[in-house]
Amino acid sequence: MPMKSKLPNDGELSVKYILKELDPSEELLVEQAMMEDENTLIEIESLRTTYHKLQSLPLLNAPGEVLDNILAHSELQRLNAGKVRPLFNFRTISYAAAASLMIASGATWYLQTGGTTSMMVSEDTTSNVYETEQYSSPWVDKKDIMHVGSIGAGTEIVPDSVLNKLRPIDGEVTTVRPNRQVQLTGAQN
Amino acid sequence: MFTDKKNINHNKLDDHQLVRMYRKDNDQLAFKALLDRHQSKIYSYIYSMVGNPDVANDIFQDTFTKVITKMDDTYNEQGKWIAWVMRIAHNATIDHIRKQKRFVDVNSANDPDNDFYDRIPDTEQVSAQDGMEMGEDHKSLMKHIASLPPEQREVVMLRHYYEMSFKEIAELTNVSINTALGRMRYALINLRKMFEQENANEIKATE
Repeated sequence: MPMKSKLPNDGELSVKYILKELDPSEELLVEQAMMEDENTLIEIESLRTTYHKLQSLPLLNAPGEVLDNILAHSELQRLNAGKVRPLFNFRTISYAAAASLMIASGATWYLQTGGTTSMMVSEDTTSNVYETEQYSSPWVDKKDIMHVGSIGAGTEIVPDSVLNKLRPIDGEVTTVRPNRQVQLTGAQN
Repeated sequence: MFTDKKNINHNKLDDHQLVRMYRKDNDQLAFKALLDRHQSKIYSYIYSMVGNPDVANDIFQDTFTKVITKMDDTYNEQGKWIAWVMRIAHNATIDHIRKQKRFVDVNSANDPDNDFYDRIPDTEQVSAQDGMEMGEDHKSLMKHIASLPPEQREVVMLRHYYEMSFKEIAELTNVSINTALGRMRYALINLRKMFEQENANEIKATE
């Protein structure tokens, strides 16, 4: 029956103390308890003596034939592994196949969706360019408002009579009549 | 034993380097260096746990068979190789003890007061002692250790042969650190009782 001591958690602390696994503050606590309480001192010292007896436990060697068997097995295992092992093992091949499949499907998807998109974009771009070219010159609508560019022009056909009213701007703009407004479109920044 | 220059170089390498050489280059000398370096501690641990040289040989060989076959798949080079081997040896030893205990349980009357090691057939204990070539003190010590409950014995052996911290012992044996510490304490208390009893018997015998 272990003796009672005044040390808190005496079981754990005393073992840790004997095995030198305490931090300095805990070590101090145990040493203080040993000084104050004789039972604690006797308990710890007797456990320490017992533990020191364990230090003489012999180190036994495995029998030579057992070690030889293990080495022979190791050599055989590696030889077999070398014979059976192909240049690329199954795992490598499966990874490579999966990667190829992903790349192929990705490329297919890209060509189908991405290619179409780019074609559509290019068509749109072409039509915009066409419209821009078509209406890039300034023109005057029915109300004698001058338009620049295609914005606001819509698809209305401008009659020749209106177009004939166009006069090239010469000199400064300030000479324009005040009751007429001039709208310049298609040049917003 | 190897005496060539190659072996000397192997002995200078650490476990991590040797394992890598064995795995990548199939270097048998690297494996031999690892085996030579650690065999006695692993064997001593197994022997002290089972107390029978034949059983210890089998478990030791099984342990290294697993090491050889599983090293490529299971061993993670991040951890210590010896800790991984030790875990295999420990599990194999505990498996054997559990099987032994089941065998004894089935064949004995249900007596809850009997400790497992009281019920192990005497032949094992005798052969274990016969198989050891050591002094009387060592024999006596081994006998006392063999008499400890296995969970106390494993803590003592792991600490002694592997200098494991209680955190490591707790992790390996799946218990809390306090439980591991408690087991160590009770092991020491039990051993102390056994030594005291032994001394008392010797004094009686001389009187």
